[in-house]
Amino acid sequence: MGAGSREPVKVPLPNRRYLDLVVYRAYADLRGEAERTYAGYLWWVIDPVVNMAVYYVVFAFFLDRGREDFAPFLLIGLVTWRWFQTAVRIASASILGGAGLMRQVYLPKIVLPTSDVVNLTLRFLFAFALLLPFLWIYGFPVTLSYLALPILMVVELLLILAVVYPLAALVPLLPDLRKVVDNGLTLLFFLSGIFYAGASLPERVRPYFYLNPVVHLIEGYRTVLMEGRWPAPLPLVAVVVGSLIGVAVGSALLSRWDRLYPRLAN
Amino acid sequence: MGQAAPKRLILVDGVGVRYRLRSPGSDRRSFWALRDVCAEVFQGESLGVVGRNSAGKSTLLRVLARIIAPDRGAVTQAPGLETALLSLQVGFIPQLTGRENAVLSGLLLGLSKREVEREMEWIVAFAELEEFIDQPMHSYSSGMRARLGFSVAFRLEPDVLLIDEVLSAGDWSFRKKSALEMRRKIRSEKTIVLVSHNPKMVRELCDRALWLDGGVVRESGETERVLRRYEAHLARRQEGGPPARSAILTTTGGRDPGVDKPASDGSSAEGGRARGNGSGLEGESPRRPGWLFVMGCERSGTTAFLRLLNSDRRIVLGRERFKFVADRVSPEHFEAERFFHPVPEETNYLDPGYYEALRERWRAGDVRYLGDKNPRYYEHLPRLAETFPGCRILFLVRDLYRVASSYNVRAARGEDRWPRRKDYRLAVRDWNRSLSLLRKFVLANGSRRVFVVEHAQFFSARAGHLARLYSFLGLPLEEPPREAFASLCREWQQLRRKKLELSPEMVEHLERKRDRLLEIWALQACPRL
Repeated sequence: MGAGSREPVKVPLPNRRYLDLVVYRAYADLRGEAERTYAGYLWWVIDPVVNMAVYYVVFAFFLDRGREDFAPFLLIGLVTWRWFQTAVRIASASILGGAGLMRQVYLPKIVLPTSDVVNLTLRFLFAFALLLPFLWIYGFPVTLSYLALPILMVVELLLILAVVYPLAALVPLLPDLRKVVDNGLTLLFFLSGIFYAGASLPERVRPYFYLNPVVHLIEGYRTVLMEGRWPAPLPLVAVVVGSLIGVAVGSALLSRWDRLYPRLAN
Repeated sequence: MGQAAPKRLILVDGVGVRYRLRSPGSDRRSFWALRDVCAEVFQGESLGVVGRNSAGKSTLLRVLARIIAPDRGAVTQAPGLETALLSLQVGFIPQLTGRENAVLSGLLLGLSKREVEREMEWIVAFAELEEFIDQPMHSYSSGMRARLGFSVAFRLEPDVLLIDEVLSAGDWSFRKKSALEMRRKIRSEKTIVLVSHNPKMVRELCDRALWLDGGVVRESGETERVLRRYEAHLARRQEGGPPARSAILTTTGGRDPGVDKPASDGSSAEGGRARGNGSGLEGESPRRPGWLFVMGCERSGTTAFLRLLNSDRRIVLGRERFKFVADRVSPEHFEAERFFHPVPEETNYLDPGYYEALRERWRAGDVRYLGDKNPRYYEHLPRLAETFPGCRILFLVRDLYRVASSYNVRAARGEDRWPRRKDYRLAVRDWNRSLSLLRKFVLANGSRRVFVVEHAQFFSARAGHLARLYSFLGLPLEEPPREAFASLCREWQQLRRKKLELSPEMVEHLERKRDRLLEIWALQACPRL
């Protein structure tokens, strides 16, 4: 036994049990949520459809964006955005919400946001699976470029984790951050080209617009699904690199304060 | 035990843990739950940790379980050592089935998925949930939930098991079984750290003991020596105060770690209390008041009973008194507010001096029963029974037509918070639920502690009823309650003469829903009336 030395802080390795836990917690939350409502699993369909319908009515009819193919254009943006937005909003509060749990058992805190992200990713995949037939009916065929979809999804997942981990690490220390996150997401919603195309913006703001990583993802999905082309690789590589840094920083923070969080909650 | 230099598994060296208090308006910014604690845990021993509330016991366990890291000092463990805090019902989600919850809880506690699945048969059998395991958990009674939580936690086999007072759970027969199993585990070669309020339990189960006080170790070593000192200290400190409470089961999660009360604050509150109870009425057991709870379906006359019983100077029922009691009941042990939530407006029918009078009566010293009334206490019957051992229950039932019409009358007068039309349905539902919960309680605890009163019969103005009630309480009947009873009878007779205002639809509903069997059972459960 080492003589009184402080334990080194180390990043927990993805151990089999914790992976099981992440997945099972995600599954349990999904099922619990479905059981809590009368319509249950039907909400998986109703929720995204209604949500998309709302935006479609507002933007296509009332604001009359008058663009051709506006419905698929908008829906692709929305499905993608909703994944990002809900994951960031919910998972960034996950450590704060898991206070009761972590006072009773030890678990690496990274488990909590990760399992929330897995949960929301499953929902996204479901909504995405609903979107595809719609696009086919609308007249966009399946092309070879669909092979890029998994890549886009992995990149978006990485981006989400890169945002979520640092936020989840900081929110328990600074609960006010949640308000900032909420408003930041609203801002980002308008800045991410969900209901307009980057090309329609004036020349001088365009470079700034493209600094937003979400824009590249949304446009990437559109390129693949609507134009049948491969997305531009360079921006995606940049997003991946940035995200990896974010994930590294976030998980380092999480493991640094791993045994501090259970004491904060009161 | 272990004379041949047992292997040291954990060394706690000068550990301090500080909690920051975020409550505004408090000038105390932080306090040290543990100040300077040194301790060792050896292989194969059972170490008992004793101490008063907020002495830092739970915090120490959390440090040992490596849930929190200390601010000062260091904890060193043998390499690869697994420690786990025994927690019941961790992470249960009511909407999932028992089986799913068992897996989830097991994963959280540190079992692998395969282990939980392999042990599932044992878990289900031990929890006696064979028929229910695939039902959603919200259909479980609290006892069933406790049983499942216990059975899952029991499959845990860490190198060092940390136990915080949780030795048994569930109803009486299961409690016996689980306590036996737990004792077996503690007495085995396993390494155990047991936190307890109860010196008796530590004496029985532990090889060594550690006495924490105000975040420091007062004494540690051989169990008997440490406990003798600890008990002497308790006796000195409380001078005829209540003996240390026996272990109370806590099965709910999410209670505060050491934040419950800063040590210094706790001791001053303790001192104040000792002065408040200067009469020593709680000292010797014959003078110690028993517990009495009045409950029943809504609108079944619990308020009338409160008035009736409070007319007796030996019985103190009411809210303010519980503020008093809540001080004594450790917040660690149960959330007093859950029981003694602020009583709604309707109860404040008496002058403001009323509660003061209750407290005065309690102080005066010849009080035999303390308690409270709330129609909805039946929801908490198992916890009441555990938290207030030996408590007595007055359970009121009332003809459903009368309950429904009472709802109606009140709604019509516009003075009540139940103006909704569908409330007679609510009445029926509550009625069925309360009776089935009471039946469970009687099955578990026997009927000796329950007195079921049928409202109309009781207030039919026969003095014999009152006499039986008093014989149930074991008190001689005195004059003031007789008067109160007579006046209440008159009052209720008048009410009874009022016409029922029920629509045919409501009558039909009541008729269809009325569960004769339950009613008959309720009346038979207590043949004294």
